[in-house]
Amino acid sequence: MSGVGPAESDPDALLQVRDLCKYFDNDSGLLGSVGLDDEFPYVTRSSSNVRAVDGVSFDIKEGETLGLVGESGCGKSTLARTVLRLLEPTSGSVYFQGEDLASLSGEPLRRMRKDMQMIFQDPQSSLDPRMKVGPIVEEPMQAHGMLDEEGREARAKELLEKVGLDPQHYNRYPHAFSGGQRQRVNLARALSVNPDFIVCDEPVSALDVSIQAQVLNTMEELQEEFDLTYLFIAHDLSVIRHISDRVAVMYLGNIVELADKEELFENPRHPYTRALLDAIPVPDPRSGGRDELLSGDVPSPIDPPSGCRFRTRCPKLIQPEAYDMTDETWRNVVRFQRAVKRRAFEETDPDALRGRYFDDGVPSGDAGTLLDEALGHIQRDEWDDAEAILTERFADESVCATAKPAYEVESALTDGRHYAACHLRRDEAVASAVDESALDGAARLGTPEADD
Amino acid sequence: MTEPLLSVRDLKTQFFTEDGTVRAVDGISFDVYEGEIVGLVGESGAGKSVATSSILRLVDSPGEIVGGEIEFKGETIFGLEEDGAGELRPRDEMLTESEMRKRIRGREIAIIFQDPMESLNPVFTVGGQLREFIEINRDLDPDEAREEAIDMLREVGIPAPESRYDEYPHQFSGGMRQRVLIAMALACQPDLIIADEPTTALDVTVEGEILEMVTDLQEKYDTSFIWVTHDMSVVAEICDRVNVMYLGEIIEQAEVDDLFYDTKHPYTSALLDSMPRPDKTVDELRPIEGVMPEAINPPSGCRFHSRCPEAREVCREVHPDLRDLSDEGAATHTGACVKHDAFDVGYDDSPAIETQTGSGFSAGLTETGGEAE
Amino acid sequence: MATETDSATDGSTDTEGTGAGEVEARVGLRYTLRQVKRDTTARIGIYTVGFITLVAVLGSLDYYVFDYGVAEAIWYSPVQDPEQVRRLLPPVGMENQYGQGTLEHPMGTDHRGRDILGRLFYGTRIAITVGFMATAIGLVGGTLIGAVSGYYGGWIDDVLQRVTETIYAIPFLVLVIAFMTAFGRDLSFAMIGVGITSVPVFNRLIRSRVVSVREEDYIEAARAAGVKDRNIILRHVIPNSFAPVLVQATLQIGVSILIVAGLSFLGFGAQPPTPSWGQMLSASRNYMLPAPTFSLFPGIAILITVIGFNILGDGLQDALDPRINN
Repeated sequence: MSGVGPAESDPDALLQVRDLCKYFDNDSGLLGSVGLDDEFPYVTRSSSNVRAVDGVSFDIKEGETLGLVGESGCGKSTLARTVLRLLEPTSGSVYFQGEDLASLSGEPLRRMRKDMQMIFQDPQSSLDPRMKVGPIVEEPMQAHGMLDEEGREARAKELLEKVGLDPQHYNRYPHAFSGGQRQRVNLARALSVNPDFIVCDEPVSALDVSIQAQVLNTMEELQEEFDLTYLFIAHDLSVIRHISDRVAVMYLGNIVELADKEELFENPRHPYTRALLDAIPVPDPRSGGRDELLSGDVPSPIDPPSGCRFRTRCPKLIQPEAYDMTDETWRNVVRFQRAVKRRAFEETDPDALRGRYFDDGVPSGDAGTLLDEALGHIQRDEWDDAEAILTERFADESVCATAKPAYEVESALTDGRHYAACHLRRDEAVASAVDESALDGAARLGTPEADD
Repeated sequence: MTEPLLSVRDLKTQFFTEDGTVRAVDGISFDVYEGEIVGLVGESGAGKSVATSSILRLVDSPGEIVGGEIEFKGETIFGLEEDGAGELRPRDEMLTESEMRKRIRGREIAIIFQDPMESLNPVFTVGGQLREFIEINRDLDPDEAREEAIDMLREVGIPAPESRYDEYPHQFSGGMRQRVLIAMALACQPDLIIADEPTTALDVTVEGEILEMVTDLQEKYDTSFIWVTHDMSVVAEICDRVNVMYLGEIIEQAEVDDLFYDTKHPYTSALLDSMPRPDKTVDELRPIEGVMPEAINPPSGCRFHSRCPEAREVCREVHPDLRDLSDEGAATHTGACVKHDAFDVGYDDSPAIETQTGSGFSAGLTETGGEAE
Repeated sequence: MATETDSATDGSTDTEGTGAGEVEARVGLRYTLRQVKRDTTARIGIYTVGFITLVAVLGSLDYYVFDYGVAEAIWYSPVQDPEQVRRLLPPVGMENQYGQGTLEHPMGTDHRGRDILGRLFYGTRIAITVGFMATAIGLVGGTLIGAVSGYYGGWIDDVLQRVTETIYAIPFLVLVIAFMTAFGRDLSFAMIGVGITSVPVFNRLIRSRVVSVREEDYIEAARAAGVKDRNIILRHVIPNSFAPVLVQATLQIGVSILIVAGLSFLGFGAQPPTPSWGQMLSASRNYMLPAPTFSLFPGIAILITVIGFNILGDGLQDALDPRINN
């Protein structure tokens, strides 16, 4: 199935994820979804979902490292676990080595695990404190009936040495090792069954900087030696930049950009990626400050914004076609709308507010009228009404709110494909798959309009 | 030369445990002047948190400050003298425990910790905690304190502070909570704020916001900061001067630009070389070999010699102190490494020694387990 | 001054350098025993329980191997000649209306003229067996139910928990007595009945630990590695949830002994002439005024045994608490 966007339908791809969704039920208990109502029958049933992963598609080629980066709450850990079917997907499919993992269950699924392993973030809690390190490394082999007892022990010792530990420490408990060494034990365990694919969930985040470097180097050596494919998840862009071949950026359950590493870092085409790159402190006192800070908090994944999820914080929100303001004026309107939504100020006098937010000039025409109306509400302390006008008539009418973006753009620096989910790219895109029915929120990439 | 706000001289803090004496802080000296942000950088186990606890005299048994001097605004926070029998005892002018508690802690010197969820009491409202803090430390009555608290919340960028005043910590995001802690620290208008890794647990974009906010506030109120971190990028962004710690000692002190562009100590260089960067692709990371040893039994001579790529025989024997390595007229830049001419110990003639190779092989297998701080 | 040691050259605190030898494990039987030895309370508990268990073992040996032969030879002589029966004698050195205490019966005799010390000796075996067996039943049953319930959650959890709660809701003594009325008044049924009523206690303990252990990364790692659920539960979940259970088990032994003694007191349980402490207590009821010492010794025996187990449980708890060990 050819798809536009991050899914390339490369038949050689080791892993193919298509429209993967994972929702969590937000209600708890027997009566959690029940609410009270005014009318008969006085009781309502609703269910709210936490949409941790909402329509994610991508491929991973054999031997490559795909970096997955995003802030906390974006769903990357959930995605990792859903891909490995440690969590049940709500919908979508995961093809591993050609087989649909969703169709497997029970014993065949368990046996599949031999080929796909996982490394966890916390070196302390990922090792059973009551088991010696040697048996920990052997356990996956045992689970898949590899070798016999002696063979497993020998291989475990061999692996410990491979990851840079002393094989004599086979009989020690995890607490006798430092954090970096425990991560190496994790590596040895994951490698014990000769997997093809390893998901690394923030494997170095809990380690000191210099230890990070050691472990990363070891991981790279092992990848070469054993021909491994990595899905490397992290929130630290420096680490991602070092170890990945391609990088995917995740925000609130969606992949917003995916490209080759150099391309993404040097030529980001999504405002969120830009903001992320801009926000990172750089270890160089001579580097400049930040251009624009992201305002506000990350929205809740229970009721995410329609269309492009980043639109509530995006510094580049697109003006609705109904209006005809200059760019600066539109930016001011957006800033004002967001400030009202967050109740970021206490001033109520319209003139003072105009001076503060629109000193370049107020909008004219319909936009101007709406703004005056909103200011009127604020003056009368009717904040909710003001917010309603500003949000519904400005922010919600932008194409960013009405259609979910999905575009492929030209790569400037490398040969690989560059996917960016931002309507700013609509004119330069080489392919697109915009879903106009995005308003109900459960957006998917629609049928492709162009071929690849 | 103006007097420093805080002066630490030869501070030594030790922990007396069953396994031996842990020399967590083994003779560090640094100053903090008014209006500057001083960085205290080091990895886990270097002793940074113990150092800052010592400044506020918050070190509990089995730990004890065993030596050195701490002066703050002309008063002695810590100092020992010899009595008639040759024993060491606290000086008379040293502040008493109650003076420390009433005047210094939270009021003149405030501290912000890493994990805001642990520092805020989950069963009380955020506003209430802030107000209580202000009431105690600034002698205001409850209503005035409440006003002040709301102002502070606004100051640190929390929107709709009046309604958020009545909310509980779990209703705030991580970044917001950290802002609340900063508000608590600032509310009492201290001269010095010690920030112990406050942004380590936060996302990068939130961290960026907090750092910007702190620099703005610092300009506005002229507060001094001691910023403890292991993240060199944060140091590069906000610190004016930096102290680099390794195994209980300060091994390099410089202004931030000098530290990055004219690094004098091999540990600092190695640390900078081992970091991946977001602004350019680093093809090969060069990690520092081995692991920081335990403070119970530090290596002889220079404590870093066991892992130093430039180590020589003489490094094993001589323990370098912190000496001024800067050029004439340039800002003070001290370092504790014998390879510089200021140390005349025959470094150039001394043969090189083999340091650990292999990443972590057998070395660093700790007895008590894991990273210790 | 830095010290010059061998370890200085490579900078690491090698174990050889500081002479600490093997790195101390913080888990496992050896370590627990070492910790227990350090704590005085625990030591008292161990010695008491050890002694009592030793007596029980000797008693069992005698009963099964020598068929009461040894003790018979010493003091538990079933009386042949009715004329020679010395009833309700006080302990040696004391005197009551029935006569003078002698060394032949150091603790005196019961209402049938049998030697109290001897019966106490044999009663130990019964007490310990009952305590251990009842607790074992509760432990194994409760652990299995709690572990499966906690690990799988969902409807399995719901069903199992409702069942155990039902058992828990009925007053245990009533339940056991009803059980024994239905199946038999014998001691073995007392044991089983008490065991069943202690299942909910263990179940609760294990289940709450399992629920938190189940979220640990190493469990997820085992699943990701493809380890079968059954093995995850047996090899990871249960060993890591077991510490509080062990402590509860020692306490439960004492409790079980008490309950069964109580049952025997009421007539359920050991039937005469089986020498059980509870039964002895029951018999002594009628002679409280004329021969108060009759009830004294079985009572003390029960007291010491239960306290001994409690102290051991306390000591174990301290020994197994990882926080204290830091």
